[in-house]
Amino acid sequence: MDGATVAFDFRQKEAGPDLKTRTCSLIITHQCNLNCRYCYESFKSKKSMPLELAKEIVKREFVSADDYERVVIDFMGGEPLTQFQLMREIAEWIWSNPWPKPFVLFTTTNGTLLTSESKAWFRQNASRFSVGLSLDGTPDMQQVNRGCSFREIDLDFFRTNWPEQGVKMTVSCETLPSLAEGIIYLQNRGFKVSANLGYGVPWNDSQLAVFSKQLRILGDYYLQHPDIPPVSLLDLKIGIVLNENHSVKKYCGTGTHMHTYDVDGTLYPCHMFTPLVISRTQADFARELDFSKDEDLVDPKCWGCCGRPLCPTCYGFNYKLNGDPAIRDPVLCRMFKVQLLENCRFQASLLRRKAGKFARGDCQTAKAILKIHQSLTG
Amino acid sequence: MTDVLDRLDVDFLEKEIAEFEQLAGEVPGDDEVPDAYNCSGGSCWGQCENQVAKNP
Repeated sequence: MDGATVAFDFRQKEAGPDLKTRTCSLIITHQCNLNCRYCYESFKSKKSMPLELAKEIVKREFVSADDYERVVIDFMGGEPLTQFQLMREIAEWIWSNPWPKPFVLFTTTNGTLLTSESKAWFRQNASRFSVGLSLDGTPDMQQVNRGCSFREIDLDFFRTNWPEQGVKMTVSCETLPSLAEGIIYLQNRGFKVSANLGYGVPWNDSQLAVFSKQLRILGDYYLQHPDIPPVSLLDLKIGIVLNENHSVKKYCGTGTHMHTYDVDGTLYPCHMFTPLVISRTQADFARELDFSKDEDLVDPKCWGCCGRPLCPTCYGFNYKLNGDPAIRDPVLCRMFKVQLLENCRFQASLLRRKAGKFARGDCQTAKAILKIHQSLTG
Repeated sequence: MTDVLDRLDVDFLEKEIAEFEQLAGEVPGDDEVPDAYNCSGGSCWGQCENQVAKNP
């Protein structure tokens, strides 16, 4: 392979030009030290990926004749830090070789297995290896969801080394009543927060009002604290609903931009379609699924819904639960409509502060609010 | 579905839209996919759409 080895410095803004990016996820282990109540990985084991196999896959991804301009190597599990030495060997091998495309290394962790050795290594390489932390809100929420204490996680380590990365907060039925408290707690500790309702969790309609109430508390908090940026749950770019002819676009890169390799080197559309998450039979069928036509991945019941262009979905979960990547959980659909309406309320409150001073974007947001409100409550 | 906007909100928004569009013309919808579209909604971290590098 020729060409320069290029690893971006994550912490520099200029590190992120909009290059067409292939994400290559390596499931380096099926093992995890926790048993989170919302975990979707039904087939955990002690299997791990051999080092030489990982190298072969990485080589193949870099030299493949495609039009991708950058490669993200994403180390996944299980809990990837159960295989820290393997991850370290792969990363150092990548850095020691020249590659024809720029690349990014990334992993996610529950943060409980860091040692002084692994922390020193990550700290030394923080500019070229990004680490995302899963953290579920307040200490009580973390305990309820994951059965582990904050004391086991060095929050400062993550905040200091990857201040822009943020934490991923997953919400379960049990922690939903504390949603606002959890987000505010993490934001007050200097974290950017990406929160979402867990998929595969037994949501039911009795939680719609709870979700609504929590989003309202959160919205009122942001109205009182305009210096704190709203989390994505209340920051939907709703102006998009005004365009009746909005193109159908697949929600994520599964089966197209993503290549996920299981511990044995088998390629899957994303980690949700691997034998770590679904049965071997289901996973084998998943390898033949066609993700090339975006419109085929729209749930038939969603055509005509004004929220469709904004509504999140997980094709892997849909497949796991329904045998079809397009078919969504109807309760999550109703939860999203609640979220959409609470966005309308919150964003209308923000617009009230701009009375007589509307700009074009404000006008667009206002029209979208009215359209959504009419559509969902009219 | 709960009605989350009261009449005052609706009246206010309609009035502001009318005033703005009277001066600037009709404001159409936006066909661009917003950044939030491909991240933080599902189970993943948005690696597939390069959230990490795009939003370092």
